[in-house]
Amino acid sequence: MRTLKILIFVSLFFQMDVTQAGDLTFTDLNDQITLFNNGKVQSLVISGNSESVLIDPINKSNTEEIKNYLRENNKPSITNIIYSHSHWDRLLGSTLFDTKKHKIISQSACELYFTRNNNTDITKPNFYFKKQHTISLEEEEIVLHYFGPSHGECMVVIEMVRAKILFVPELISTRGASFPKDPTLPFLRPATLENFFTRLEELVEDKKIQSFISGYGDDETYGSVKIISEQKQFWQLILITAKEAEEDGLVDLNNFIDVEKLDLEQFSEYDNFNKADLVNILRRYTSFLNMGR
Amino acid sequence: MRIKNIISLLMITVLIGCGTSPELTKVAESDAPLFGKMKLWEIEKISNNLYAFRYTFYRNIILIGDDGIILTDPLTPEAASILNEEIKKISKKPIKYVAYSHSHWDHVSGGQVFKDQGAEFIAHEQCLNNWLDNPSPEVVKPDKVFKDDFKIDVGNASLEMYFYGPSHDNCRVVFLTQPDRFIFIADDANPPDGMNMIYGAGLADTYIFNLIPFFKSSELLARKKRAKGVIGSHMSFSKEPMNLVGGTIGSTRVIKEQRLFYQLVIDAVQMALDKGISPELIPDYLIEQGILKEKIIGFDEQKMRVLYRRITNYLLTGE
Repeated sequence: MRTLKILIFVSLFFQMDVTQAGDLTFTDLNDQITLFNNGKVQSLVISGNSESVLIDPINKSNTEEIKNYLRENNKPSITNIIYSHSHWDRLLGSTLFDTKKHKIISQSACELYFTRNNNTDITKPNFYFKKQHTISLEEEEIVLHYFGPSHGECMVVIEMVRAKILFVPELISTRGASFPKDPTLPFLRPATLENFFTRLEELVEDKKIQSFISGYGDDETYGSVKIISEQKQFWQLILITAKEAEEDGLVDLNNFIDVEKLDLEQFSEYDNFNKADLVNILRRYTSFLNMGR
Repeated sequence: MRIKNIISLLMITVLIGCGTSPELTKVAESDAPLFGKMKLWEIEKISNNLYAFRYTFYRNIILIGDDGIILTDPLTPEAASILNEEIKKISKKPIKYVAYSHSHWDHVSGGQVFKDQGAEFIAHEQCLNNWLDNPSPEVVKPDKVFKDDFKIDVGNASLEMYFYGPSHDNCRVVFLTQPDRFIFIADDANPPDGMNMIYGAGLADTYIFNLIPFFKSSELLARKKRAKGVIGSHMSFSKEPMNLVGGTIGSTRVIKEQRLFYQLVIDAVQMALDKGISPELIPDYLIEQGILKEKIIGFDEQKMRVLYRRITNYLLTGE
């Protein structure tokens, strides 16, 4: 499986045109879609004949570099900016855009965070949608899908229809199913997470999508969509383990589970496994089982 | 100012400003112990209209008026069953309403025993959405929901419910009892001190960006309504971990202290960010510096690391 993934990756890489400008690496995935990566995070800019669409203006210097890149490559300027979710650390270049000239798009559950949590370094969206929103750029069609709270309240998954590629900004890595980068799970929504993954699986099945791109800057460019199901299984395993630990009386008054009493082998298969992280992850899930949230 | 006037002024200040601690009368308690001398459950009388029921570490309140009874948070099926039996020994009036403080199952399960008696269930509208997203067979869904505030009346007693935006979850409301004027904020502001180490340091489901405004609004409510004090929804930890204190009622200053607790933690993390400390190193840095160690009662390094990490994430992302 791993070999197949590497082969897919390598074959795709050699068809891609990679350039470096400032902090960013630009990779043309096809004639319309360009991946930009600053080493920590990555995202996409998609161009048609007369306008370009940017997903997440990461920071000011990156956004300037993207504008330069588009100019130098005779691609149209940015008219639409998609916020993949509400987190400021992916939107700090947004003040370079003007709500009078640009359409700034976000899922409607993000509105609470933008309006009640004021940050002058973030330009507020001027267009909100609930379930789905489509932007057409000649041959390419960009579809924003909202499958409920997952990583925060309002993260969307972005489908490039012609290219049959998904952009999933958080929660899955193209390297494979893995332990989360932050084991305290500050933004995870356990109550709706499984449904999020199920809807994602359904989309992949329905549209016959083969690969996805993550928002992580240290990832390989493409990942097999099988990772979506494998990551879902990881969270199911966490939930079942937390439930069984409760039933077996292994949860203490502070909601911590003694992981030494668990079968750790099943977790050790996942990337980034370590016991200390597992303790924190399971504590979030025992809290979830108590609270329903 | 004459001595008599000064004494009168002091008495008024104590009565309406800082809140008093009226004598609590234990009405009933379990035979089974919970922890040390503490019983599994107890009911305390605060006034003729107001009682507090503690089950394990959780507490709800009971209002008895001429026209019936208002209960808050049924807690669990076991707790609700005990409360149902015990309440009948206190009053023969019908249980007319159950008011939910927020959406977390550990506070709101077990209401069916009251539903079966015809009680009407009230909650903030967003709580209902949460229960539709993730239903629990043990949570009775509300008959009536509201957006901003709501008042439940049972004659000479009433419960006022105020929504000040998302906080501990996205639908927690502040309860104000009438005519006794006690405030109840589920999961926060537990007497005797709002600077106590918090239980859930990961702030799961907490809307951190609105915590400070939420407490400011609650403080304003306490002042405007001349609240006499707060009723704690949980027992508190004292200086030593697991040294539990009852904390049934206390001064309204606990609300301000709870705000300061969160503000101090946010300020500490912001200070570290401003100094250029790498986000992943902030918990260790603040622990090593001993920041807040003397201010937070029952300071727990393991929990504080989690809390500092959570607040760092908040300051970087807004969530």
